Amino acid sequence: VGAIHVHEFMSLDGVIDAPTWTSDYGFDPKMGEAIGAVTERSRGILLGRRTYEMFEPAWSNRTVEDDPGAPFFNDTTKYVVSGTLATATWRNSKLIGPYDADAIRKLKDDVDGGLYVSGSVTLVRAMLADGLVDELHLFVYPLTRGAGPRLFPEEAGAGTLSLAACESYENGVVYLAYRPQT
Amino acid sequence: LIYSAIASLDGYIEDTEGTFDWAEPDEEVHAFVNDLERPVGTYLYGRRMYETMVFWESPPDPADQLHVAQDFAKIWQSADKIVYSKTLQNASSARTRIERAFDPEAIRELKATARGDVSVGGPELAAQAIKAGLVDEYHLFLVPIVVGGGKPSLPNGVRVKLELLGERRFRNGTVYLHYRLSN
Repeated sequence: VGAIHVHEFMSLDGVIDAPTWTSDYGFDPKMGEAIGAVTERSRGILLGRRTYEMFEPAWSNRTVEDDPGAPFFNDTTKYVVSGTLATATWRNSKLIGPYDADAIRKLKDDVDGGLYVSGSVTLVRAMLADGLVDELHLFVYPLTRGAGPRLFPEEAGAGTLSLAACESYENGVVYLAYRPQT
Repeated sequence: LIYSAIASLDGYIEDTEGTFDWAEPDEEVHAFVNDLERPVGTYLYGRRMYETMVFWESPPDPADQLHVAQDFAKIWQSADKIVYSKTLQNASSARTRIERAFDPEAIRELKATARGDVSVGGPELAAQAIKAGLVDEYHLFLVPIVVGGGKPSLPNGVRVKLELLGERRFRNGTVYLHYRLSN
């Protein structure tokens, strides 16, 4: 049975809009190691349409020489949640239709290993509300956004978590990982 | 000026029911909080936060309290308090004065002249201080719980850039994040 590993770039006030603001902080190689530890346990990538459409041009022409993460993003099967997208052109992509909690549960059953999710705010909020997220990997940036889509939906998915990781990097980013408490 | 808050992972200092029992620090966290609060010479509170904190003026049965609670009570009692309230008539603790309006200029003055740190508590008052650019340092404790709504620890509509000074994890899964305002 698979598990859903959500990875987000988040402001201190919980906003996960398109994280253009992360570029001010650079990318500490240790952040790559932390993500790598998540992606190496993942056998599929689950994305919402908007993130998929941002990732395809960003990753599809890159190789391992450009970025050590490129093979994972290009070679791993990408499951795309969308009610509107007609075709998926990035190699190894599968459209799985509009959001449906049962379809995500079935996908978890079918994939042997983790399902890596990044960005995809609408999808992630829906999965948090439906209790489908098994691991949260958060890069918390040292700024507040004041407004914008927040990771955690209101009045849904309340529950206790257990802290799985906590480390900080020289650029001021803090990595926090959580699992639902069982 | 220091803002300290214990918040849920989704960023609330109390939930939609107005409760925050989940935020109560355990002994390890409490001891750490005490050491952070020890240098505080003046607390600035909104009325509701004051009414919560005034518990520490005379804890019901000091002998029954954990050492960390007794220690905190002493720290709290020995600091000055300023309560910002339009309605509060009388303070029920010593070393306390009531102000009717939040005046950024007066707080700047206080910061310049106060002995010891000045700490602001309560999300509404802290929001005003953050918006006015008065908060220099943040002590944020993130409790590993999602509560789904309530009073946000950080105000909506304000963008601040911070610098991470440190982080620490506790055995109960609480994380401490220490920031200062970035120049």
